[in-house]
Amino acid sequence: MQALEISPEKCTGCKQCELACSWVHTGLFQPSRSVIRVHVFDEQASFAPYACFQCDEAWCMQACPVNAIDVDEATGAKIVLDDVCVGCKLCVIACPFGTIFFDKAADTATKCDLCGGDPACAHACPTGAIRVAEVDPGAWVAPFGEKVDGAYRRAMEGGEA
Amino acid sequence: MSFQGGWTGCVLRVDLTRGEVRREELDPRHARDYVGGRGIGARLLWDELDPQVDPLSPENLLVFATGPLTGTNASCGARYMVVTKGPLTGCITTSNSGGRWGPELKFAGYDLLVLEGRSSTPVYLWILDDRVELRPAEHLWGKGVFETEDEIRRETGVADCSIASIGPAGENTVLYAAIMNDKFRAAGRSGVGAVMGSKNLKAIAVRGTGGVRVADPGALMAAQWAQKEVLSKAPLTSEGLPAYGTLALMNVINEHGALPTRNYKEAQFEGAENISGEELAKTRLAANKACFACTIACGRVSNISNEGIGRYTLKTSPRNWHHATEGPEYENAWSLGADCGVDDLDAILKSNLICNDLGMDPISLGATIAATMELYEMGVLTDEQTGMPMPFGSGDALVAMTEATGYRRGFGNEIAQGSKRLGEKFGHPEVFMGVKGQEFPAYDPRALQGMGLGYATSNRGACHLRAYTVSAEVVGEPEPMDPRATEGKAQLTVDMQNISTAIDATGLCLFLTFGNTLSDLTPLVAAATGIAYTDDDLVRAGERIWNRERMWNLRAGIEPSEDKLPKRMLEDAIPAGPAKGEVNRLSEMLPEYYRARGWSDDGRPGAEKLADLGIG
Amino acid sequence: MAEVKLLGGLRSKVGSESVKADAADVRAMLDVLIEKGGQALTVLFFEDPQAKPPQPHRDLRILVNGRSIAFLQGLETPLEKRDKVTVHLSGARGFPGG
Repeated sequence: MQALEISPEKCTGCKQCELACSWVHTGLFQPSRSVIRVHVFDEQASFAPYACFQCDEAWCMQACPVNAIDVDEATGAKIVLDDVCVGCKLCVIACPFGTIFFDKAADTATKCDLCGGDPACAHACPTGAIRVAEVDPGAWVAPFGEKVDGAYRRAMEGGEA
Repeated sequence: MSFQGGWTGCVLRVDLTRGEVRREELDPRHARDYVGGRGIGARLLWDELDPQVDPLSPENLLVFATGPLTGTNASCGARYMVVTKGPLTGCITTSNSGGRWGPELKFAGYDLLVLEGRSSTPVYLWILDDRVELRPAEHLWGKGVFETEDEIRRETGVADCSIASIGPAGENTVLYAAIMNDKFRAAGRSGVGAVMGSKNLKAIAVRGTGGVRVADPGALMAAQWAQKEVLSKAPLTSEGLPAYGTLALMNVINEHGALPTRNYKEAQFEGAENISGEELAKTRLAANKACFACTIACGRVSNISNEGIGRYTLKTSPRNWHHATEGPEYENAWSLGADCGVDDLDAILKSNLICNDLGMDPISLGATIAATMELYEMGVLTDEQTGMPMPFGSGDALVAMTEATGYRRGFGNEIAQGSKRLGEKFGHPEVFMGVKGQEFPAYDPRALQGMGLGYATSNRGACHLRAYTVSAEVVGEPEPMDPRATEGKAQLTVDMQNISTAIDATGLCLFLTFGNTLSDLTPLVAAATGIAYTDDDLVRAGERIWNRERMWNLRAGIEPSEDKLPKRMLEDAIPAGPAKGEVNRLSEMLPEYYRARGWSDDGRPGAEKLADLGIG
Repeated sequence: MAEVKLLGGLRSKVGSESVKADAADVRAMLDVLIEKGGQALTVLFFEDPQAKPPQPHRDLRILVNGRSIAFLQGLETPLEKRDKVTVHLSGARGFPGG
């Protein structure tokens, strides 16, 4: 499966990825509508780019009441079907990683679609902090996934969350 | 003519006296001829500001100007320029900063922000796209830049906003107070922060969720890939600056015997290695950090060493800010270091950190402390006056005086006036090392002849960013020129001034010229704006802006006789080192410079020159 | 022996901050550095290491007693025993500083 492989230690916080992402999706340089975002921790000299890593669990897809989130067969990316999405934001609430967003301008959810397999952010990154790679996120997402699922099940069963 | 892209076409005006907000259209002809940033700012001051005005009066205008490439993905398109009448110099001043603030203003939909008048009480300006409001800032007055930013973020609830603010130095009108943005980025020189303080404006917080449109998307994408490829292949912009920052210059300039030491009494510093980029990288560098859209990342994030924490953070400041700060870059490490004879990197880091938090220009501050140290060693100043021993080399004095100056406490109140006024007050004007009231940066004009001409003729007082002849005289690009010769320096200075000014107007950072030529950049401006600029058009725009600034200064009463250097540079030869025996030979270069500018023999742009540039 | 001070990235490449070089001229001094730091240095020092004689790389900067060899005799600049030599790599392109 393809995903963005992000190495925060290589990131300098320049936000070229946000510029590139907004450019390919909106035709403008508009970081507020980018679906990859760089969080800058000023005093810690630490920069954290984050974007959807296309997790197998796909909580956004599970939460969507109108089936507006689909899987791109070519890349495995979870993609938002703009003409189906009704803008209810349940996916935004469901995503434990905060990597699916509500786009006010379009009135739909928006997330990383891997640009169809050739992500613009990876091209734009001057330090190689973002690469597109064949990865198995299961190994490192699974423990967290079990924790979230477990908490969810316990809550449903009336136990402690 | 209308705007196809690059510019938003909108100027935001805030009248602080009346508390009114207005929006105006940018004049497309001004945009075309003056490009943006420094250029449109100079044009606006020419049209609207009486050059005779007291810089700290409500009548002064404070302009924040972006360029057509600010907020695009052109590498280094992060810059904005503060344009105003500077209190340190009385000249038109143009003070440039990176970070993220300029792009946010652009994303909010504005090319320029013009501030007029003076608020009766402290306020800050909050810009969220179309929403523009003045908010009370009494509770922020007196606070440092770091705390101010954190508090405004909490108040607005918009974590992604970018904030430009002043610290206590700006509030107390320290004459070289800076405007700081994103905590560590500075519109540093000439006292733009004091102008903001005089207006009772604590901060400008801005968040833009809109986008920047460009006229020719295909051409822009091609041009920016080409530009970035050059930057990624030039060894200095791909390896040197990321590894050492501008501080790589410390050892280089010192080896040339051109590193001003102890208030320019000497030109080589025995402690240079201790405060060099190599030393910083080896012992204290935490990471390098980029401004918005920058693919070079020369910014340093540095830790004060464990020993230094004990000496300089806990004792002198209750808030130690995780012991990390951005910087120092070369000029600051020089002014706080070699110029004061201080070779303690921790003291420099701490002083630099205080400068960032209190909002001061470390170049003028360090140089004024150096002048104080000279007066102290001459016996003109006593312990009683300064409150502590102030010999050259004292890191303790450096750190203590940095803090005292920001708050104008004790002798800091004198240092806050800059070294020209300090020297005059204590009867020794010869300790002022600068031009037009502004202190020199870090290159000895006796060892590098061209820098002397650049300092003397800069429109904002002594400055290294107006004509960086170091590149030819030391770096050897675009071709090596003998630093000790005066031949060819006049034309070199004119060319560099014009090109630098043009780049300042585009919203790009001057540092990209360590890799790019103007020819790499012109296609970016053309593609963004939809105007078929050529290289020559941009050089002409640079020349037009330069002449505009010069004319404004003449109207302000800054006579061509101010194009001069201190006596020490012209008559006192460098005492030792590689450039031993050298003085600056300004008189050999200045007449040729005026001729190369097409000005009269006494340094005034004539009617013909002005008409040629379209300046009425 | 001339004292050769290295700056910036050259320090790790040669493995030292300064070197004592018994060399009659600058070209011979570079050979001493190559002997110490390895053949990989030749591509940093010379435009074409195979040329006879090789010409200095455009990014190589050498000072003898604080004076660039561009204004002395280039690689043929003679070295005296008490000379201080500085070697660093510049790597600027464009029109630095505008």
